[in-house]
Amino acid sequence: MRQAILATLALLATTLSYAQSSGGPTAPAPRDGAHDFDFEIGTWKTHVSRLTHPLSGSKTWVEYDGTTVVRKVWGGRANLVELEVAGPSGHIEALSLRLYNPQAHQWSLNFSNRGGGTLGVPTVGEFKNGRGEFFDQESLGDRSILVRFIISPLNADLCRFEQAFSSDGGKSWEVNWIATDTRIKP
Amino acid sequence: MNMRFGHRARRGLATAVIVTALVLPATALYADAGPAPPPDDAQHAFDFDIGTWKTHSRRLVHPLANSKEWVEMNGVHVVRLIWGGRANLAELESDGPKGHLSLISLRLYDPTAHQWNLNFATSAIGILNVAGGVQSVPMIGRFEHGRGEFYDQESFDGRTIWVRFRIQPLSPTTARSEQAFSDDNGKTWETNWINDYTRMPEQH
Repeated sequence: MRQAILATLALLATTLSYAQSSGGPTAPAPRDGAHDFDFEIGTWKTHVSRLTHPLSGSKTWVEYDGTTVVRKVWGGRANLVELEVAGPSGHIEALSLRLYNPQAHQWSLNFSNRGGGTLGVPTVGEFKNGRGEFFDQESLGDRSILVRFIISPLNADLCRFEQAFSSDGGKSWEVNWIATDTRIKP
Repeated sequence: MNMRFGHRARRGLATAVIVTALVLPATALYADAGPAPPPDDAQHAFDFDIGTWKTHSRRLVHPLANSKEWVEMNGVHVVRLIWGGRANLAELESDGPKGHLSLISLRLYDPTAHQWNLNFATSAIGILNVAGGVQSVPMIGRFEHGRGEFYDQESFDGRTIWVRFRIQPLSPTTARSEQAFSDDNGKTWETNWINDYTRMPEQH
């Protein structure tokens, strides 16, 4: 127990020792990303390709089609995504609540699917040069892996989403989810 | 700079792994012995809340401080249906003498546990389930005899306390919710937030 406390103190120190350094001379002025998701508000036709067994060497992909509805919350500082797609291998109903943290200038993406009914660890990140990159650490089977989610708006009515897993600390990534959204209405 | 902590951290981690291994069976042993699942209409327990409500709220300004200073707030509460009732998003916009409050709550029904989990965020913080500046957990519970009761453990003024949230419909057009804190592991509760809801006509 005492060792666990010491370990906690030691781990805390790794971030606490930098608590003073944010806003130092080299820190760039953070940009306001509160409206980074405004482009996605509306109703979209969705095509999904999903790798059925990630990080297993499998190349079996399955296809889904359906819709995605994105609704604005707090004038854009949050939004709720509802995705519903179906294909030969089944039906997926999922939601994502995205929240903008104005202190950290970061978005957190909170994902849940209807079958599970709980929220996972949020994927956290930001948009840079028109592309959103979000990361978190999760468990896949017995292993801890890194998760990356990329959002690339291609034009006002076309957007691509890509999820990838890494089991080597981010050196290599295996893409396992590609969604293409085409706008139906604003 | 961080390296000097490496050895202690590793030893601590090994201890933590052993502790986890010892702690896990406590719940794993009972994996097959959970309470009998309630009727499946539990997933519709929040249906009464869907719609737009006028709210009148009373908030205790300083909880767990023997204070009796309450403030009143007025606002609008909008609850949207998700997944045919198995989830919903509640948005509260409320004003009072201490300012404006923008609060959302994402409520999800876990069909395996037959429990609801309530996840909160304010626009000022913009992260789910942060309490007292510390990452917290959802409130978890269920409805019984028409009243929902949800609990979690949170950090408040540096102490770990219990939080209870209750919500119930009083009539087709009125409802009430209450939040209370306990600093003695649930023996006594101090109510610090009371919301009275009156349904507003649907606007088309």
